[in-house]
Amino acid sequence: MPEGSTGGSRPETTPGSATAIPKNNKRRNLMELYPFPLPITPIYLPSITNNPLSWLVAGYAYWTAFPKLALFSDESRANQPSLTPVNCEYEYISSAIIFKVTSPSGMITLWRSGFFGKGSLSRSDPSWSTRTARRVMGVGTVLTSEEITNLRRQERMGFKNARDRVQQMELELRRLMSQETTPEKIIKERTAVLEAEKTKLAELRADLQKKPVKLATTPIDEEIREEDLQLVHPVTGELTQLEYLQLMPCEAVFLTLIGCLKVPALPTSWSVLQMVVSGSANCEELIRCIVYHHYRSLGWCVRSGIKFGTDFLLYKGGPPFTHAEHGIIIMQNQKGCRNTRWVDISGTARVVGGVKKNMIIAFVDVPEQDAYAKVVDGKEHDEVKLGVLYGLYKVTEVGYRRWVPSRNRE
Amino acid sequence: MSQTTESSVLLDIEDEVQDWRALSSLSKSDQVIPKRGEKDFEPDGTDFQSNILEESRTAMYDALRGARGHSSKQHVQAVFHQSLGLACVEQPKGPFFKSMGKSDKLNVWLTPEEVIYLAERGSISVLTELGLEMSLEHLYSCIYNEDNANVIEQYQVYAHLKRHGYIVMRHEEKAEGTPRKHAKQVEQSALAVISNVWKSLCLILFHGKPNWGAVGIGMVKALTNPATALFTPITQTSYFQRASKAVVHYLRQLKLIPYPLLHPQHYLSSRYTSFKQILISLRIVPHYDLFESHEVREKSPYQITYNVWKPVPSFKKSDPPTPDFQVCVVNTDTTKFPSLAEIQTLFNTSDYVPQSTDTSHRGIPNNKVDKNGTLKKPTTPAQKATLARIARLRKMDKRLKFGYRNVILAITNCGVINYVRLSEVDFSREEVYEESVLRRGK
Amino acid sequence: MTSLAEIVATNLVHYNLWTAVEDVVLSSRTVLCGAPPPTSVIATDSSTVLSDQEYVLPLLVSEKLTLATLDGIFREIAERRAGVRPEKVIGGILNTDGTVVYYFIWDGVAKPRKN
Repeated sequence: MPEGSTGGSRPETTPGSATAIPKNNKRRNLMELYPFPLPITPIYLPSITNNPLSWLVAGYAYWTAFPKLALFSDESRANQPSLTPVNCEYEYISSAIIFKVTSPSGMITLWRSGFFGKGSLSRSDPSWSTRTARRVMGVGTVLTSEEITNLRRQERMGFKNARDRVQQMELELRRLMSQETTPEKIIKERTAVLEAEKTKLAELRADLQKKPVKLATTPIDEEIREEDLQLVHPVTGELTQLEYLQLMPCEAVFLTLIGCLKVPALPTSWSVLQMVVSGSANCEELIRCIVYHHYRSLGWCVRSGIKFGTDFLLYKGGPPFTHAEHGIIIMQNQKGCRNTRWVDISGTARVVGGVKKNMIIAFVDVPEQDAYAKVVDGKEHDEVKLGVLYGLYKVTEVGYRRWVPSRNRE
Repeated sequence: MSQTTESSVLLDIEDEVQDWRALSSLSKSDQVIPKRGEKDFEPDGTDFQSNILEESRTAMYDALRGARGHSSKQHVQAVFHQSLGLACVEQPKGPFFKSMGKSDKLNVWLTPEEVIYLAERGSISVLTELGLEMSLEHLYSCIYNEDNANVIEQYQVYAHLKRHGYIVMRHEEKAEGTPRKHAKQVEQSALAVISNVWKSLCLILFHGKPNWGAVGIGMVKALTNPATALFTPITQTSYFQRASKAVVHYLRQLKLIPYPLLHPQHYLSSRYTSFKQILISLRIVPHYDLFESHEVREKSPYQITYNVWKPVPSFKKSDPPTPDFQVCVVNTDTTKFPSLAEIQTLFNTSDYVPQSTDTSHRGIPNNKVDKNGTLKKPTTPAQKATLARIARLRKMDKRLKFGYRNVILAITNCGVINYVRLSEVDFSREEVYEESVLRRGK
Repeated sequence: MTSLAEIVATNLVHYNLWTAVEDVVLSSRTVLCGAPPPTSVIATDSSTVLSDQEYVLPLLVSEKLTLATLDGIFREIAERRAGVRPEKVIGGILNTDGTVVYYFIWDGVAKPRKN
């Protein structure tokens, strides 16, 4: 069935449809909301002109200004610079380690400057309290992406129900046609009705693909459950914050390295790294950290690719700006490490292609265990060590893309 | 952004089941490409579906039953030489020979896949060296070859591409030192130079002011980890070490020197004036540089099998242009997923034409005419900048999607063929981050 | 320390809006039992209707499952339902980024989803 469900639906239109001059307002608004690709801000100097005075001004600004972390404490005082890194805890669930950011300001900061982490009760950005506040207490009018997805799903359900109805009509008609006693006239009538219904259905499908989701002004009518009542404080009426921002280990390492995250008891990125790696040169988590670092340093927004069967997804600006464009599969370029199965890679490529993303295999050269151990056991400072260790690996990209003979001839 | 430029076809035509009923209507009426039907989800209990199936089956048999013949004028005979593994055509006639076979002064020689392809089409009849007519089965058994275990898979790919209208010829490895390799090396070094110049330019532009990170690391190393033996006697005294630590600490407190790169305090103590500088300072993971690899593994199971051209009337088999595609046939039963070295061997043996002349690619916003046919031009500088920005990003997307050197793998599994394009991609050459005035707005 | 079952239960109640989610302690592990909301986020297709009592099996993405384990889970659940095996359980798989994804695990052959 040609139903175009390509993963997440998105309220934003992608900028620049091929022919018209694109409206830039959307992008401008997004840029204001998400100004920084990392939670650090550089020093922006005043513009330098021919006037020597402006040089002095710029020079003074350069000397006195100081780089800051970007910290969004709350909506009203958005973008208050700070020197305090976001606090992060870690705990174990069975054998898996999870990194948690629980402070609302920390969650906002990490999400809004670079799209780090994932809300534990949300699809991506931590929007649970907004959603729940509306659902339980009827506060707020701006729809979160989860709510938009839900509306989309309801629309699709509506379409599917209509389709089932038409198919039922068609089946009845077939039964009638196979009975010889059915009068010709009835068959003709029914056929006409069916055709009309089919046309309607086609229109419905076309609508579904085009129509932007309408912003509901009233909250979606839903029953308040007993579970919800327990969330509201009986005296203050405040909502309990259940959600935290969970960071992938590679995100925790990277954020500690740039000084934006502080894990008590793990002061440096090296100590965070040591918590999550196995101690062998080809440790998968270590290689994930290195590949993650590589793409972040090239300016990409890197997020987990688990939903599409890849290691990472790369976004140009971040999820609100564009869909992810590249799916990264990590493979080790090591002798004797050849366990990629054809069926696995074909399956992944098909899924990645199906959601219109570009699949990239990142081959990683892995050093000998001796060279690895020499760095790990060395007496260098932690921060020097991490740099030297990352320097032992090497990333090589190969594009992997399905090719269809009938579409490449002209 | 790429979503709008890609074809919006979600259904894959290749995957649909052929409805043979189209054939019977095709022979009767005019030539319209038949549409394939939608699939039913489940049997509905009426005989409607089984009737369709029956009709389709009959149509298929009718189509296959049709006599295939050719006029005696066009009749072509080939003699299969078992010892050579080639077939010889003494009197080539017909359009096929424009793009098939190899001519010597007298005859045209056909490769096994070419003979079978033509014989299966009914375009030639094949004789043994003794002049006996060969059946298709006989022919198939004769092309089996101990040196080439994948000969059947190779034929399947050959025939599949031919039936799609491509021109397909066997790839022959050119001798060393041909102009092709030379050209590649020139290009390679030119690119390397450009890339290096670019990198140093970046360094000068964005790190024009002293690179505090590097300086910081250098200073710390010099002060706390003196490597030279000369100063070791002095520096190893605890007094000196404590003193130097105190000095460094003091200087940092005065904000005179930053913490070293990768220290948690580094970005809070160094003066970067743009995000680009910050990103560059983070680039510590080594990566592959475009065209860097020259690896050629002679014994790799991955070798280019076919050169493939889009159909063009001007094609000359004696002097073919650079192929549009190069195909390597792989059998999943006998060959494992390639290693990086094997993939690079393919790239290094492929004929690569630099894409710089290709400016006609789709997706570049057309600023002349919009959908309604009215003339639209960017008027304000902001609009022009936006268009330029989109054009830049589209070009970047294209490079990241299709890469530079590339080879197509025809992955065969018991007769099913899946084509995959492997390409050399280099993310490190692209600047995805855009420094924008919008970000400075605050 | 939070348990895997707790995380999946929180996800069910406060992300997918299930109600009456309870632990069901089996011999080898804890599964969850609860009621999906009337318009469930999980059931997006019209052919699969969720009942008001579904069983969810919390899993880690790194975990390896065998048919024997699954059969054991079906059997133990049946013991609590007067010997009636549930037609399916739902695997709730926790990933490294905190996402929980849900998959149906049917007790035998099930009619495929109509897309």
